[in-house]
Amino acid sequence: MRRNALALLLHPFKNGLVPRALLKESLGRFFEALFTMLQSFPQLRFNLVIPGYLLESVDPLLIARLRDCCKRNFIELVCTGYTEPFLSLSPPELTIKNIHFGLRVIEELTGRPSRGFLPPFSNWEPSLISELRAMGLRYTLLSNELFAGKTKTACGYWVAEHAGSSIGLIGTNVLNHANPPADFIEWLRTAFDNNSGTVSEPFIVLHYLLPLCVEKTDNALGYLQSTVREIDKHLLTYQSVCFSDFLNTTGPLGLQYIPASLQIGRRGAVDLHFLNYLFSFDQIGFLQRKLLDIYDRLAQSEGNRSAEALLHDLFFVQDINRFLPGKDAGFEVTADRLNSYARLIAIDREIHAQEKSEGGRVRITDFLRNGGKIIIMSNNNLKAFIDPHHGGQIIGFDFRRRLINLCSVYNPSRHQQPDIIISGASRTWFLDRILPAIGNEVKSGAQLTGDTADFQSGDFDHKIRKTPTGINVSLVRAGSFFTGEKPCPLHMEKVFGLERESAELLFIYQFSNPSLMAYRFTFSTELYFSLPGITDGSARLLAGKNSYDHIGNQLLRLPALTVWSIVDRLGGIRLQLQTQKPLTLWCLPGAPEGLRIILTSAVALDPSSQCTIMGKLLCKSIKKTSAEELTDAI
Amino acid sequence: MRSETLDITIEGRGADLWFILSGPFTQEQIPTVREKFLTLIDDGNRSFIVDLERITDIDPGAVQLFLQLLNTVKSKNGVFRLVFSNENVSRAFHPFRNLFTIFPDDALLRRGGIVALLRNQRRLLSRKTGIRLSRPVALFLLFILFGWFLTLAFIINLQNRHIKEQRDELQELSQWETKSRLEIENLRNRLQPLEQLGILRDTAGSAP
Repeated sequence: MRRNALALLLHPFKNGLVPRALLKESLGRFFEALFTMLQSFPQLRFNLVIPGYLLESVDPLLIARLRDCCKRNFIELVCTGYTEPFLSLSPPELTIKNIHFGLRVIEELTGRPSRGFLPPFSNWEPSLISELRAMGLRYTLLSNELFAGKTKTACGYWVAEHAGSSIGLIGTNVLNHANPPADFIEWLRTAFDNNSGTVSEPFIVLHYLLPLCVEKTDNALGYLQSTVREIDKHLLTYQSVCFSDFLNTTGPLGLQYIPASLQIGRRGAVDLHFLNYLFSFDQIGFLQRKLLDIYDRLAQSEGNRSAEALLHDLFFVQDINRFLPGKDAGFEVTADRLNSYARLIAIDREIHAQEKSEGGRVRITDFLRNGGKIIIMSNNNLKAFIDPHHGGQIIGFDFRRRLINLCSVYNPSRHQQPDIIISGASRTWFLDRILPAIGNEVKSGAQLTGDTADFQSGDFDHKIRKTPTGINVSLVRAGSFFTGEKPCPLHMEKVFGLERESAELLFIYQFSNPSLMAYRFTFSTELYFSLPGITDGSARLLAGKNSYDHIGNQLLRLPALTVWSIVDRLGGIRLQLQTQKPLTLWCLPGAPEGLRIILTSAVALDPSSQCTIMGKLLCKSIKKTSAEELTDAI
Repeated sequence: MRSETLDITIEGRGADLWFILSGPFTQEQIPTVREKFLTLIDDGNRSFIVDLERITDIDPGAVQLFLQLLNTVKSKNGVFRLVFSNENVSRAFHPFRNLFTIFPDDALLRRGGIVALLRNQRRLLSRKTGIRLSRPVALFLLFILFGWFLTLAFIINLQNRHIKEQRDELQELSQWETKSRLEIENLRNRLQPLEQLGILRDTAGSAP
């Protein structure tokens, strides 16, 4: 009697960062359940998709049992890579290394090579087919939602081809314990009845997503066990197979051309312009560009043993879960985002240490890959990314000793364009405005967002200076601001400097009045701080003898300050800002998981005169309250 | 397009200021690079190392720029060195190789001592003469040269010995002559009274 072929594909997954101990426990429970099912239902065969790093976290005794199961062909392993690389956002060479390393780990631990590849979230890139074949992979698995028209319901497998290289392509039906079909066997029967393909042995893949998180794992395993029990009762109708065995005995349905794609969410249409969609979110672009920059620099020192170790760290940053929007995981979540930055800054620091530069360095490069140049100024302690084409703002600021990007506050409003940095929308440092003078001082927070000038998105000319005492970048713009309807010319020069290897950022604003009229206006500059302690409310603002808690939740106005600090015990950081002239500090609410600060100063400029505002930002490491390092979770 | 412009890195390593360029160096970049260099010179930097290894394409005007910068730096008693070995840049700098101090990589630049000095000298000579020798040929020629020197030394030694022998002989003869003269004088003195008495005739002066 003809039996329909059924492949059970088990996919234990986690999206967010999980402490290693918890992950190990969760994986242990999953594998115990799997081996119990194998013992109870010896006729069934399972296909297991798991990244290499999760396999490394499994208890060695369980690995030994898994090895035995693989040897006896009860389980076939499918690879995602060492981690789950985001194929569309990562450098292809890094992706290939990730997959290669993952295959090596699987073969070392299980004794059998993996022949299948599953890109998570069905993130498919057809250009990788030739590389996948070169690594010995025979087939790839994608959700059948990606297939066109009637081919979605075809019960078989296809061949995907690109530029002369081809690979087996298997469409999967995703099953989730949270949203199961009411009658599983009925659903399965219907799926086979709706078969639009023409093969002698119809074939369906059931792709089980099993979350590795203590609360949900039991429910998911329970559902899996009940499904497996049902299948075992209908063994005469449905034969459980491993992918390789099936591919060896049955031919494909034909060719399928699947374009670059991504499937976010359980069901739904796949958007071919997903990259535009992704880059319309804040922060993802900067994170990805940093990854690309670090990889380019690592690739230059390839062959070096330490470069290999750093590359393995980069595999974790390349993981797709770090680059997808979501409330529990991904770049929208502060802890997740800071973890990614921490890994990147740690690698960057290691590369910098090997390069042996002294007294600071300046690099002018197309960091954002958007046709413009970014000035990257760094020393052993700090690294500042300055965009001279959009207001001379600092768009990223690494405090290297604490492995944190202090300028990485997330803006939940999406960008209209998929640009990495949008003036006024991205939460950067030194976003400058010229406000109309109201009396001598601005009275309320609402008046701080108006801008009468063209500096915040303007193009600045730049000059680089390197002296024995340090480096500085001078940005100059001849702009204007409006008083009423009338434009008034105003020159702004802003200078950022690093003194040798110290953890101090110097900044200087100089305004020049080239006209014959006197000016009176309020200058404001905005800074967004990203600190772990702001999320949980433990960070404090110190100004003189006063201390303020839960900053970021309330409107604060502190006039005439020359020194103030932010202390974050959770992150182990103390930031102190000193200015030569007294400024008014405004701490405004509304920046979720970040701190929004505006500094204002009344400026009076006589004809053909200048006014200077100088200050420095000192970054200090202090003792952390929490023992657990951000980078321990994976 | 602006995205095709040069990437520039400026960093200090010890007493040197490294200026690393990467990408295509087109004519449009020349004023920018000149301005950056002049600013760095005004800041008091005097020892420059320009790394052009990652330049993919170079405009002939860029070479002229570096000549001007070389003059400017040298006029302020500074040092200006280039690091590259890639083909495009080597071809562009070929007519001016004698003017610049060029290293193929930074490892060689950092190496000091007699070996480095010899290597530099070798490079200088090969540039001036246009002669390049392979290592085996150079070793063979060195061997021949060494052999010649040895032979020369041997010949000189031989001649020295011969000269010494002759000198010794000469000295010996001189001594014998002096001694003989003294004896003759002595004998003359002894014979003189007899000659005065007429007992003996002086036959030494008479012809046979």
